Amino acid sequence: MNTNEVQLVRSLQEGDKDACRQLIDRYSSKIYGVALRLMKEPMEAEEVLQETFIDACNAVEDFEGRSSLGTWLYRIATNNSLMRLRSQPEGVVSLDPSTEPDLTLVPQQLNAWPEEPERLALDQELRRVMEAAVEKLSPSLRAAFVLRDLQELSTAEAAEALGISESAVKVRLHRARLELRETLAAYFIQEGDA
Amino acid sequence: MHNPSSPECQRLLNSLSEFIDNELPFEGQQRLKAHLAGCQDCRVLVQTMEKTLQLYQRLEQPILPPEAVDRLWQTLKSEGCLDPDQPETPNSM
Repeated sequence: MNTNEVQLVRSLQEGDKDACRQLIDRYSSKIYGVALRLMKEPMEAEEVLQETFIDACNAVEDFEGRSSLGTWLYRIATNNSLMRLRSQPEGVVSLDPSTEPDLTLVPQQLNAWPEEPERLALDQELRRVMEAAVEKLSPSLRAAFVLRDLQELSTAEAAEALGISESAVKVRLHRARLELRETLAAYFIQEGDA
Repeated sequence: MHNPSSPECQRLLNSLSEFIDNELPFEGQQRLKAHLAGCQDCRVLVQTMEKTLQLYQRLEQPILPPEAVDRLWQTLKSEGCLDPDQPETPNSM
């Protein structure tokens, strides 16, 4: 943790309410972003956001600073999200207890994409396809991808936030990326044929 | 459909994320680069994976609505995490 963060943690542990405001200002948007991508529904994401900050405020005295404050909050938010997903009645939420790579995930689409995607504007349809592809991932793969590639945590930070090993993060991230690539590849090929 | 029957194709597939993130050991990274020079299917796989990640990095972060921030404040006050009289500040995000 940097000096700024050390001071913030100390203030929080001393019960400084202004420090709590700083915590909210600094992290609420990021935590909401993760929660929304995991839960898919804004109301559920907001509930996770509230739970996360309540839990953080109540547990800050026990925070030992082994990870950064942000990583710690991501961990609380991710745990809260995944617990909610586990309790949802529709379907069984597989949290991929196995960390073995699925080597049967062979790419189906191996045509070069017809346009240079980096020059494409992220128009509404493409954005919708991309968001839908993330939502289609299983919760455990989605969590790894959101933390690592969208929130740009390091592998070590993502492992800390997810409570798994770094190698498990890499396996889940690999699978998530392959699935997303397949979805986008199918979209761009279809667009090219239109 | 690409069938990664060659050991090198399979090795690339298994290590694709680490290769793109430049997290493989030097020898492994170099070996896969050499394979890419001679395998179009694997080149397409790497290029389209890189493009996938570039696109997602351009995706906007979800916006936290101001009213949700207000509700967060209210909830934290009612939970005793904040003083009831503590003034809220404008959302600085």
